[in-house]
Amino acid sequence: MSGAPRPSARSAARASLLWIALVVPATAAFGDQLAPSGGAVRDRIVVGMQLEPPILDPSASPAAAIAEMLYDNLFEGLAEFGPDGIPRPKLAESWDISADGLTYVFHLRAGVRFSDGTPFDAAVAKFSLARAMAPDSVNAQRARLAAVAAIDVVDARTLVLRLRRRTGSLLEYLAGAAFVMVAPNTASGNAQHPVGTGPFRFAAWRRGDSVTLERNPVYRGEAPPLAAVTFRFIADPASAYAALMAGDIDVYTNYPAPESLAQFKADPRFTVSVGSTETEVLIGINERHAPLSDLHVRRAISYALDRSAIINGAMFGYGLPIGSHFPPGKPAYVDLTGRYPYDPAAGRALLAQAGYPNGFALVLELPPPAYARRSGEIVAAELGAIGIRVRIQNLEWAQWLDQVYTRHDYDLSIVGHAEPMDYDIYARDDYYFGYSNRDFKALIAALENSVDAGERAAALEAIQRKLADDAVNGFLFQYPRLDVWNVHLRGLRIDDVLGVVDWSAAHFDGAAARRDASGATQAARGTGANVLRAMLDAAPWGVVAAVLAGLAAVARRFGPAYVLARLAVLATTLVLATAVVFLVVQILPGDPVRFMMGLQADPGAVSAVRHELGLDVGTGRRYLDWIWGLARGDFGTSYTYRVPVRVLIGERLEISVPLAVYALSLTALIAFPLGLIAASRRDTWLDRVISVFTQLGLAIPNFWLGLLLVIVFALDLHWVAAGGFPGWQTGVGAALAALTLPAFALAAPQAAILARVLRSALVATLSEDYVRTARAKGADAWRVLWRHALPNALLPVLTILGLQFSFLLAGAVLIENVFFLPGLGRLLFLAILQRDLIVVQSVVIVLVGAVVLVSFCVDLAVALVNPRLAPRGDS
Amino acid sequence: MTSRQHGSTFVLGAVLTGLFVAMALVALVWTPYDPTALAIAAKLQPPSSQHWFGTDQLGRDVLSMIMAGAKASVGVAALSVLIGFAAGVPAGLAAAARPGFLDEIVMRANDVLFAFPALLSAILLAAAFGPGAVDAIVAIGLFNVPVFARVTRAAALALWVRDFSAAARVAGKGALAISWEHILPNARVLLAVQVTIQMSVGVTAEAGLAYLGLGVQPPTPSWGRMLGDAQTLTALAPTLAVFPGLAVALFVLGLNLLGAALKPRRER
Repeated sequence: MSGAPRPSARSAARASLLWIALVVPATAAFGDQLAPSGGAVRDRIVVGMQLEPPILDPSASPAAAIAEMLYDNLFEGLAEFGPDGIPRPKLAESWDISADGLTYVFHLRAGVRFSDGTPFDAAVAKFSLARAMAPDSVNAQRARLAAVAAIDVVDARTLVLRLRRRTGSLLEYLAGAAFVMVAPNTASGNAQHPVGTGPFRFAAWRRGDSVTLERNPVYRGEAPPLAAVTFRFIADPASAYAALMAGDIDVYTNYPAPESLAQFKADPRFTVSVGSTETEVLIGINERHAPLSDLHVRRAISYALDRSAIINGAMFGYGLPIGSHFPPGKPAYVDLTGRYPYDPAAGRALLAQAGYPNGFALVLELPPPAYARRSGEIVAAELGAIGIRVRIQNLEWAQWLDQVYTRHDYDLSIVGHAEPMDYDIYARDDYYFGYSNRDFKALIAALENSVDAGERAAALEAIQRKLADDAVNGFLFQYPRLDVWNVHLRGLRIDDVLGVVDWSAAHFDGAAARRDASGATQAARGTGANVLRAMLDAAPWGVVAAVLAGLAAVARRFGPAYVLARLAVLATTLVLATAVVFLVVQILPGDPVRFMMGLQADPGAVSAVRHELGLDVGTGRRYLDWIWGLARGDFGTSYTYRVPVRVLIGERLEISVPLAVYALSLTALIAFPLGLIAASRRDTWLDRVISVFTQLGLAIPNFWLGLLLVIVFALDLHWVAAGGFPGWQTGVGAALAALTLPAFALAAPQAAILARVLRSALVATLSEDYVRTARAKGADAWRVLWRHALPNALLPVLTILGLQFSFLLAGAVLIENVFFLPGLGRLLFLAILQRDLIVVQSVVIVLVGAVVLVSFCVDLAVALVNPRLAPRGDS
Repeated sequence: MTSRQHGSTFVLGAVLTGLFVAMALVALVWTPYDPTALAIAAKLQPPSSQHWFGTDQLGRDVLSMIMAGAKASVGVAALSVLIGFAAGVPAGLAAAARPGFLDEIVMRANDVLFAFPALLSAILLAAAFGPGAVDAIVAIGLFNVPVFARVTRAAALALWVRDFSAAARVAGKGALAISWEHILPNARVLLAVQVTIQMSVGVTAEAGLAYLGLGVQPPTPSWGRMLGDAQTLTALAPTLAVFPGLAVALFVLGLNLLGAALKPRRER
């Protein structure tokens, strides 16, 4: 117990109020910027999507997300798929096929223009197809046009394709997203700024967050009812659920969390649609590995699978069982699910017959999607029941593509095959299944050679039976198409073949909620945003000026040699850190280019991209290039987004820095009153209550706190959005509101640390001689605490605050994932998953640099304000 | 803090820590149900007398999973502290014993390692070596090295100027012997406190990595992954998001209280 008199509780409370008064106005002043929108029926919507496309050109990247957003809406092909899966006219009004199947004449639609006004004609169509087929083309599907010998322009509206050999699937291929029509003058810029012929045109892309399309004013047909469609990227199923429930988004296409669908069905605010896709989810079996090359073993695996248990457990009942590689519901489908009924005893008998009465062990490799991970756990248990001991290994996509798909180093793997009509993969010897069968190849050749519908159907049926007989893979289920949307939204057209949604007829009915989920209102673009923007722009220069001033002050007090020595240490640390980062990043497994180009990529296209990205030079050279670039402020170009890394980091800093500053303010705002009260009321019940609070604050993991905050404030109370970031241009109030929960979740544990540090520092200084002297002179107890103890206790507090700022900047990865904020941590996390190595190493070095610089500045500041460090010449 | 409170802090900390360590040990041989056994028909049950904490989305018993998850939590945290201790303490002792060149090297290496925030380096290493328990241990362990080196060096520097060190030097003992016989024993309380702190950091980091999918892999249960899985099920089964988080928080609380009680009185 200390015998020191304590300042009154009233003065302590006054101090807390002071702190609140200092910090709150700064944030509250922008509160009135949150202007409601209203008036007419809404004509803007926000669509949730799982994955962000790397670029926006469907002819240059096979990423499904590009087609999902842009196909039919922005880009159009000569043909498109009808609801029955049969190609029908689009930009070609009609076509004639010669009797020998070698000449296709396309009659093009008149009056078609690109959104920039460029007219579409046969020459443009020829350009589009020739560009996709060219030797230096990066089109992953270019092999599909390999049979095209010549493209002739007969007149402005007639295009002729001459083939070397019959290609029965040519129209299906041309209806795909890889062969959309692009204009010669804009094609090269489509990756960042796509220009197409569809009802919508490109408006904006905020990387890591959203893409916005707007009405195309020169569209040939009726103008779409929606003025703008914003696609927001919300990868996490939990966040997708939260965003819909909280009304942050109006639609989620391809909803990834079937477990929560029942809740949306029961909720009158939502429409739920359950459809089908072309995706077959299957257990890929590596026929190159010994026990799996045995047909008995593969059939045993098929008998062990209880498909209804898998569909119930992994998909909560959504999805249809399949017995071969073909989607139920399409023409020519044969139900082969009865070929191997669920029969573990039969499975065990077959294993014994194959010479494995006691079973054997193998590894099941699982890519990231929830359907694969969940099915994997059930499949492992079911195979265990017939004696096959399964070890599960979870892989990221890049690793999966490298290890399983490219190097064939696996036993079993579960993945959905989404490409329509992709049974030809079983005819490829180098495909990852390792299935090589002459009879099957003959079936595929027969299919390609037939143009007659009846003949094709017979060939397709034979293909399905052959795959089931050979138990090539463990066929599980057809992936369901799940979509959830605002009940007031009408006119959505969902294409089951390509999985795209046509937004051209979508509209809100009259009763649509007035609240605009996009949050973007003209009124909100007030001066507050401009002021903040100016502050953000000026901030780096302010920091530089402050650091220089600090250095000058330190140099005056401790001599220039001291400053130079400290700067040398700083530089050494940074250089060593670049080497460490580069080395670690080099051992990341997985080939970035393979990852970008996807499952069907053409080898020529892969090497073209590798060269384009400068990945075909040596490791040492790449390190030196990187360092030299860093020195000049050039961070290189992102592999995935193909824009300068500097731009990406700059965009993310606009969220990460304000978030860290906000969290740090909250930390101080919470910690100072608590620390002051605890120290002034030392060893009372109040001190003990605060101590319990700070202990709890230290113990609760920040991401769990974030999760609980989302459940309470977004899902139950609907006070705030469940996550996401509307952007500073929508108004400072809205932006800060979106950052409040994340900042609080980040700040709580830090505030607990700071409050404890402050309390013990104050307690220590309160027993110092000069404090006793001040007391003896009759100073008010509060004045003693405020004027004498606090300034001296600030030294350790300052040090901790410095450490905390870097922690808040770098440690937000988890919180940014909980709240799906497009900050630096999330950029880093996604870049690691996508093997965007240059982004990984640059973000890490920026964070490390920030940590080093902040602790350097804190050290200098402590040296300056610490009266105990002797100035030069005094000692 | 009075000595009675001090005593109760110690007891509460020891009880909580002991509870989770005991849970991990018991889970080695027994759990109420097999934590990996699926029962799709019995999925998402609320807490009941059969399943005290309910069942998860695949019908597994949550109490059994939490018990088994304690193995991962205690194991990863303890082994990563061991790595940090085994490498960091000798480095700190050496740096204090040989001021100058060696000290400079150790501290510069420390500066570089220290510049990498814990979670950042853990994510990077987990991505480089593939996700899994071993990689989580190495990643968190590497972060612990500079922490232990710093604490040991600071404590040792203060002890080297004390009389008993000077006496030992006069008696002709070498730096190694003095470090081992005098410095280390006198720094043990500080190191014990640091062990509890780094254990609690390790428990939180393990949960965070597993939450991101970079920690212990299924079907081995882990608290962090249970939290990640529970996120989509919050409305159907809110308890799924509660119990694993409570387990992390209570274990960390226990370790923190233990550390606070072990701290020398003047630093409290």
